[in-house]
Amino acid sequence: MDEDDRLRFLFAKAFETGVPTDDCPTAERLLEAYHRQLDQDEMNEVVDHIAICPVCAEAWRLARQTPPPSPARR
Amino acid sequence: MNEVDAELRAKLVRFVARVCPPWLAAQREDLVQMAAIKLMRTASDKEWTDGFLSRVAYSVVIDEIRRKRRRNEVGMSPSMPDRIMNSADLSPETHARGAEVGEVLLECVGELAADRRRAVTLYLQDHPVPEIAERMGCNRKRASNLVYRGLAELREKLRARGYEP
Repeated sequence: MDEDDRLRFLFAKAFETGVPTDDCPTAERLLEAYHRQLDQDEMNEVVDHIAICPVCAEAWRLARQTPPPSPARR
Repeated sequence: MNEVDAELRAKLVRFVARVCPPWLAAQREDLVQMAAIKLMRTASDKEWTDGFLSRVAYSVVIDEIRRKRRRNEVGMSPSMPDRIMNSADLSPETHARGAEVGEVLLECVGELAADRRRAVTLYLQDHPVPEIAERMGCNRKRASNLVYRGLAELREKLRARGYEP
């Protein structure tokens, strides 16, 4: 494990005490951001949120297991 | 339950299982049921593509995780790559104090300038630099620079708070 992985571990561990806020994006919005379905400003907004919200950061990690939305659904 | 419903349910079971963390596994059946109800209430069956079902399953799981975190329930652990979670390099103390140090780490990430913060956040979420560049709409060199300098600043901030990163 390199030093960066140690930081990744700690970043993820914050989930264990994190609490969602009223500002959390919806799960659908997180998924759109994860699959790059938002414009740059909207994407930045979501990434800014997961930087400080460990619960949404966990949701982002779980989004890895989902397929990208089909273009027809947008 | 008719044949179509059984097929739909089988898909929901699969999609819920994909995103459901191990600590929530005991509730998978309930989550599938919640996803089925959400499906019936929010969409016509013409929209029930696999992609759509997958999104409904994801959203139900995330909503449940949020509910549990709001109630401050215990026993929830983050998902992360096996190479990290099972690493022998992490001491029992690091595991035990991980959440506490993680909170401090997030505080430090939040203090970084916007571009560095975004690059570092995506990097800590295990995205490689080329993907970070795409997500940030910049070239790879700039993304690499933002990650490198952002991590250096992050470590300085942690040290200043008494944590050796």
